[in-house]
Amino acid sequence: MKIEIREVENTRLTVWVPEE
Amino acid sequence: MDETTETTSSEPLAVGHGLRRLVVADEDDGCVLGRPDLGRYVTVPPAGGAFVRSLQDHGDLVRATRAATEVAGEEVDGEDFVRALAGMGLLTDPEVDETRTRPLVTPGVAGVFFGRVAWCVYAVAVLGSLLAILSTPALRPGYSDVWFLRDKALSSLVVGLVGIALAGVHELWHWLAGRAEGLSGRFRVSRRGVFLVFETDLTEVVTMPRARRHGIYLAGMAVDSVILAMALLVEWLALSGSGGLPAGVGRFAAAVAFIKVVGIGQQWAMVFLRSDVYALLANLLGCHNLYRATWLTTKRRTVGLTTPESDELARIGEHDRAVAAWFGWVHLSGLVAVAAMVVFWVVPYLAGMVRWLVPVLARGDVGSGQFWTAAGLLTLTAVTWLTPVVVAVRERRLRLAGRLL
Repeated sequence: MKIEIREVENTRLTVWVPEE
Repeated sequence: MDETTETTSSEPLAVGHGLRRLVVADEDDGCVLGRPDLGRYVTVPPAGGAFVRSLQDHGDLVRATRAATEVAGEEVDGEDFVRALAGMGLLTDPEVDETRTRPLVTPGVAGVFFGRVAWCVYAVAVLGSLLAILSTPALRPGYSDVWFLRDKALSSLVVGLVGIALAGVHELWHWLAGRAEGLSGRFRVSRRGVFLVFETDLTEVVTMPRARRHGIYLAGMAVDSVILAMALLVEWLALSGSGGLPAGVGRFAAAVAFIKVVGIGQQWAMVFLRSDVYALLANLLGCHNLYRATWLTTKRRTVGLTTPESDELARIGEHDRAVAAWFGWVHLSGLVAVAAMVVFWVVPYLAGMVRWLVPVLARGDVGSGQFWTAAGLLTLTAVTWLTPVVVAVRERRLRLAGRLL
């Protein structure tokens, strides 16, 4: 059998630069 | 070619230093494989993890294939697996040599901010802030809190700059939470839709058990809540006159409280644009590649998919696609709401800003404070709204280059 490989998404923890 | 690697294949397999950098971690009912130095991670069934561990220990393809076959319960194609890993760039030689640099902040030092006591402080800050805002109408943050000075333009400029500094603290806390677990986050300036964001790449978190990842996701909002609680306390002291604080300090604290309430609110409201709460949710739901699955699902529902995109969606795990089926509606309605906000709120605001700034700057009265306030506001606004455009152009160029290679 072929071993299936699946992508894992990036973890990018974010902060919006204020548009207050 | 690493001299300890023997293969029986007629074509030599390019496994060497890259293989040794491959990290294997058990997760859910499979394994995560990844290269922390490249920031690339994939999931494989348990047989894939057994294969890589054996190959790392013994450098013998036949033996590794046997180990994987035992786990899988059927004959495994080891050579195909190695080629697929190489094709995804997971076996490429490291770009930097393996000299260890002393970390700036050790996990022990960073851990002080994420121990049991620290999380109790964060919890008290959240509950205290909620209680203060709900019980004391005078502390309730409102838009007019931004204008803490008589000069509205100068208030906007100062609040904008303080907001950038506080956004930096939010990211610093994610980075610190990563350091407490021995991870090295990478800071960057990026965009979410048309909005400017700071982000810390901590993808290495996927090699940790799922239950231990939450602190890293929540660290930014944890420090936000402490800043909010302190601002509300200062505001309350100034209002009650018991701290001997000037009223101006109280008004500035109110502006800071407003910045943080909006910032925490954004994390929850922007879940469809991959906020911290998105990372938390995707982990709680046991997903691996939810955003790509969601994006492709939304595209399929609106304008349709190309054949390569359909194939890509089919290759994403079944669980991610099942979650994307409902999260896609959250995503789509969120995108529509953001588009409406940009058209009806951001564009009129920017137009109003330009209408006010241009005459002030055109007068060229360099001796006046108003001129420099206007110049500062124009610079801040331009950086805030043009940086995402620059980022988008760069992303597009890289994507096209990636396809042309």
